[in-house]
Amino acid sequence: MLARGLGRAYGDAAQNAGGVVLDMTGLDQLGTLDLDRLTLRVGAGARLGMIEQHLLRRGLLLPVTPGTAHVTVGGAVACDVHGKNHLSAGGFAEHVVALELESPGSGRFRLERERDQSAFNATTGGLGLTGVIVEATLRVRRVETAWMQVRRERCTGAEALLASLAEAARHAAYANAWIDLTVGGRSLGRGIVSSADHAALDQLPAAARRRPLAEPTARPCLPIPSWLALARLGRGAIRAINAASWAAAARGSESRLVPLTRALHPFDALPGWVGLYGPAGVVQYQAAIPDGGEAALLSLLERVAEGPVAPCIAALKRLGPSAGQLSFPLPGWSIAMDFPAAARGLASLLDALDELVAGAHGRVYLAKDARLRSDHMPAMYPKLAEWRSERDRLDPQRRICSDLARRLRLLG
Amino acid sequence: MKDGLGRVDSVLVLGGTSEIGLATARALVAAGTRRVILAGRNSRSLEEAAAAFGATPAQVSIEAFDATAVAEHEGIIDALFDRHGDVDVVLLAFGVLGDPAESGENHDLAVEIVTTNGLGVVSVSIPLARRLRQQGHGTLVLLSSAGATRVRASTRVYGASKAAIDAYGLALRDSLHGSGVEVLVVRPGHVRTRMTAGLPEPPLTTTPEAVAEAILGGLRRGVATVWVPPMMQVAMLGLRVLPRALFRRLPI
Repeated sequence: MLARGLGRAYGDAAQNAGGVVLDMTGLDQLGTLDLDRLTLRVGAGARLGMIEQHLLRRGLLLPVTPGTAHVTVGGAVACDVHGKNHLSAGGFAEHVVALELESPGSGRFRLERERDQSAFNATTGGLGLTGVIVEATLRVRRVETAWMQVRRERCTGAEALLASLAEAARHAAYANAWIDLTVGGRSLGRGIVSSADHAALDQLPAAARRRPLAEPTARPCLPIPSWLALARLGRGAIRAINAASWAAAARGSESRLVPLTRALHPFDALPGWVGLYGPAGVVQYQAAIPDGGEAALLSLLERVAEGPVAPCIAALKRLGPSAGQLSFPLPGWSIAMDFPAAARGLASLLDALDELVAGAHGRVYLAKDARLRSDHMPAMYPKLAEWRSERDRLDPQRRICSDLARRLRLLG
Repeated sequence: MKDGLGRVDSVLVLGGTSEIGLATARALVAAGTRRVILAGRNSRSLEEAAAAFGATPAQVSIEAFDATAVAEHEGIIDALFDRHGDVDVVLLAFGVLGDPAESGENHDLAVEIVTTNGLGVVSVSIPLARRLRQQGHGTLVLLSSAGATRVRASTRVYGASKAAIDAYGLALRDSLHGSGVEVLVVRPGHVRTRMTAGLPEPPLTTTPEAVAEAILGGLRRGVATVWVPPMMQVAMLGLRVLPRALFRRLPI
């Protein structure tokens, strides 16, 4: 048995071949919003985008949200998702005060961050394998406006990019970098570092200041025609798209105001983007490499740039520590790349990247993974044994399972 | 569990000393398979076959299995799945050819051929299909024969036994549709192996390695049948529409 949210995990985390899969999206009720303690009770099936709309009107916001708002609270807890502000705000689980968990071993009970540390840390980031998350109490934060002040800076090489991103993440609340991995040589790792902070009321133009929490209506997006499959268009198209993004960015740096939801959830601006990868779909590779492993990170970038498959999108972020036993973030760098799954040579390229990442004491993000080998698990996730024993306590008969758990032999 | 790029994690070979079975297991290991279970009658030969994998990242284990001991099949398959967990690919590689000249006349040999190639497959497929359906994924690979699509007089017993499981395999595939489980029916022509040593080699003779590659291709594409070599499909199409009076006179 397995609980499933909106199915936005890239791999098999929310699949359970031959078993029962619970559609949790019905449990989407918004509960008490406590304005003194700044907490919100929500059903596990509630969509983050819906919660965000509900909060924003009141000048409130979830402290951490991922690149898409089309995920449920349960999924966000189970994957301990992160945003572009992991260094300053931590992961999603960091702001969970308590959970209602239905576990096969202990029935339904309230799991509090402080009181039940071990079970809590096994459940946050625990890929839904410790029980069914039914409800969550989340911390919310105040914002003055529904706008963000976004700065962009163009960097011509990998080392400059890393330095600039590290600097940006230290000072701004949100930071990430787009890298063009379709070019090698001297231009290897050229990219654009974006950093953002919540805009204060006095930063808004006078017109927007009257209704600072109102969001501009989103522009309608054209549907993506089916012939426009990147996998079919091939390397040339991917290269051209990346070159165009590079050329479009202003030289030097620029700063502008961007609506908050667009800045937080860039993926949602283009619904159906997965269709761009054709019928075989997309494989995302996201790995974390700890601080000090910059050499490994650079050789990973080089490997990809010289490899047989060009990633359509590649993004770098900075990460901080996390408490979840199977949580992905560790103090260091995150690199995420999208590849067309149909591309030839992809499996061996990604295997080679696994070796590089494992060698640098890094890890692959399980919520995004569809092809990691189980041999890498103990090294990549050193708290795996601790998680297993806690998990077995909550589900001694191993009633809960997922394809991901079977593929990576997570249960041991 | 197969991964997102179609890589097979575990394979069970029933008839674990079969050359086609071993060639397929080796090809899978080269493509990233990490667990190989060889099951068969002769434990000494199985051990040798397992040892022949040499230094490999895959874990190779052996199990006892006799295709003709049909009464034990349910228990053996259940125990095997309980012990090893999910299996992505089950390859039924056991089979008896018998001396073609003799098998049509020798009662005991004919019974042995049909018992192993026909009864054995149907018998073991029952618990296998049940376990695969329970786990919700996996592919059952049956070794049929190109000749099963039109059985020649010279190999009538062997050919008919393969024709039976060919038809059964495709119907089993249909019965499992929607369960996540697939059945792949493999139709090789004459394969150069121990089993066929000493026999004259007809055109389109192939090798265990070629059959293995074809099986991997079939697994990747999720198709119902693969022919080895692919031209065999065209050749058999011609033979199948040949009038019986002509077919009978062909020197094959």
